[in-house]
Amino acid sequence: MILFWLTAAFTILFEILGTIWGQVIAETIGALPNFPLVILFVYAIRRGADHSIWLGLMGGLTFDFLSSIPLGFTVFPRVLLGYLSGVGKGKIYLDPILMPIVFGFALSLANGLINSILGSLFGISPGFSIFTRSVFWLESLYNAILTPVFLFLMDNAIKAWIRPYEQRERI
Amino acid sequence: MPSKESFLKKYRRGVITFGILFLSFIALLGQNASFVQGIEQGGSTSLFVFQNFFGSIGGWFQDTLGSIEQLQNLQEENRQLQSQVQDYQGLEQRMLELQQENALLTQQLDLSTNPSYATETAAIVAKDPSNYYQTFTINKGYSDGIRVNMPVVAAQGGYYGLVGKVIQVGLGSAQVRPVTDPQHIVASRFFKSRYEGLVQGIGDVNLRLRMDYVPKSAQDQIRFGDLIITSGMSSLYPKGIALGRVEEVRPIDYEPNLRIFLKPVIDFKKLEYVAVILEEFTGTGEADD
Repeated sequence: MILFWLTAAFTILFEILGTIWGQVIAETIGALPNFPLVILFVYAIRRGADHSIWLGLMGGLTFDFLSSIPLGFTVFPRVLLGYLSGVGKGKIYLDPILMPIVFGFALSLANGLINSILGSLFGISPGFSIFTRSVFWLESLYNAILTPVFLFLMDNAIKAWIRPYEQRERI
Repeated sequence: MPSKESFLKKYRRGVITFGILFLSFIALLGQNASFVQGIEQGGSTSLFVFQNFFGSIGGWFQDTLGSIEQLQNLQEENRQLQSQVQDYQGLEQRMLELQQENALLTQQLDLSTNPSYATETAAIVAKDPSNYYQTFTINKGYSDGIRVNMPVVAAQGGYYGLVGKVIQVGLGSAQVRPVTDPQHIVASRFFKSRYEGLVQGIGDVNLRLRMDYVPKSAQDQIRFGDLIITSGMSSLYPKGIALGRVEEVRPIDYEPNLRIFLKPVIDFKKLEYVAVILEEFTGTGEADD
């Protein structure tokens, strides 16, 4: 449970920091990577769907509260992708680099697609034109690159702190 | 036959996911309902505390790092300023002449030179975390008299420029959608030639604006750098607030109108403080060109 709360805290922190330094980062490197989405995937693939749904809900709600977009617009893809990624726990092979990159990119595409469908249904821009914007592809690329990095960090955090902590708790 | 309990146990995750997705869908369907907006306002108000906290830490780092850079620039700036002072002494005389001329012209046009609004000054504390939206958060909200749809302006380069409008209000914070956002449309006109049009953000990296519905017949009277102001045709924005200057005029063969690209008078990348117009007093308050 400790990992869930830590990941949730980091997700919310990244969402808040995104409102403060996000545009500075975006101006510097062309787009702001979707850190919370990558964290969600990494958590889900390691710990399963039980908690990743709630992590998706927390991150999505925070984003919707901080952003100008309507409530539910981010919650929807985050919860769905959190669930689908969590269901894949133990069923998909993940090497340290290549597959996480592929999944990170696919996740970004899926997120963009869900946002486009919802945007078109509820009249929220930019809708499907998101795919014509370079910022979307750049964001997806950054997400793809960040996925193995976060996976590495998560695996090492589990090995070094979380597992010993959980074992101590059980005793 | 499996019981209801075992079904829920087996598909618990799926049921929870479906439930949340269903609620999200309902929230999106009722996005304009006061209940949904109330939840959103409550959420943004409570998160504003953290936003403000991290924003102040960020501001401190930014100020500290900035001050080191500033020290390096001060010497050079000082030298430049000394030479500028000499230039300004010559300009002073010219300015007095222009002031007299301006006063005369203003009198002729029967316009007020000073916009008179009751405003609430606010600092920008956060920006939209998404790559696709340009809204920002200010540190004043409902308790300061801010309401949805109030116009937001800022003084920069000698102009009261239109920044945007308030789209969401929390107790101590509010979200502002800038004019550079593609969802923002403002009824406007040329200050000199008085042609009207609609100005809209185009969402590009240069934060330019686009003015549409200006007839091709106006092309001869449009010059590079011409000022565009709000026309006051919609009840949302007061008349005469500066919007931008003409940067590019593009006639399109198959359209009777021109497509004009503007550079906003407000430099949004440098914007730190804004003023929310709470109330407009009598007088048209057009900007000087």
